[in-house]
Amino acid sequence: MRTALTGAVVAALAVGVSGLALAKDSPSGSQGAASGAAVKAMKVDIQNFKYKPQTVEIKAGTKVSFTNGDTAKHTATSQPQGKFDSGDISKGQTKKVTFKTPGTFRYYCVYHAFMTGSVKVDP
Amino acid sequence: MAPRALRYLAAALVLLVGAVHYQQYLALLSQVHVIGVLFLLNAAGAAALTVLLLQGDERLRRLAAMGAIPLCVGSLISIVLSMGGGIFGYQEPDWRGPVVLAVIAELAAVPVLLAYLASSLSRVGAPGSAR
Repeated sequence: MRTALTGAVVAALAVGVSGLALAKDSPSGSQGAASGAAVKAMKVDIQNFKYKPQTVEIKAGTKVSFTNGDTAKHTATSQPQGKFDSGDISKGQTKKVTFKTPGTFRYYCVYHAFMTGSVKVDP
Repeated sequence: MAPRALRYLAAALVLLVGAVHYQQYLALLSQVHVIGVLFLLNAAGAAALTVLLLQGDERLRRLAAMGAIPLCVGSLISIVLSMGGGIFGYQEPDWRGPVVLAVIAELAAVPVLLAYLASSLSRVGAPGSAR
């Protein structure tokens, strides 16, 4: 009984620690000024060296999550650089970028230059 | 080391080089332009050279060894390039397990192939040598 209780406590701690680790994986790239628009979410999967969908259209203030399904490390980096950068995204990892300013933002993977995508941000 | 043992070891290493490239092609790179095709060609070339290294004709075995050396050296150069600025738009950000395995196999294969070639050629013209 005591062993089972200890196991449950350890499991709960493990879940808590992993939850903290996930929460710490905060947006690594953001741009523009903050807006009062409700934050929505958009998912972009990276699979087979492609961003899926390759082009997304979102409202300003939307958070785009890039999830890497490949074994290879990828990034989602603005082209030209400097506007946003997800940083390295390892297999199974998700990085988020919040787009606050309207416009069209092209991006690519710094490791695999043939991987490109774009985000169209509407006001 | 006996020439036959050198040849078998060379064949095993060349096969390993091809196997790693084929595994990476299937698991990761089949959709990557140029690089994917190069990995498949490497695997096919390595498989063919392995068969030639293991068959009975000594001259064909030497030719296979001479072909396997540029295959391994070319792969090594490609890895170095991909670790640097990239090759055909492809860059390796870090030393993944299969990359390390391929480098070890290629680095080991080259001296073994050279040793096999040297031992094979030294027997050319010797009494009772295989031709």
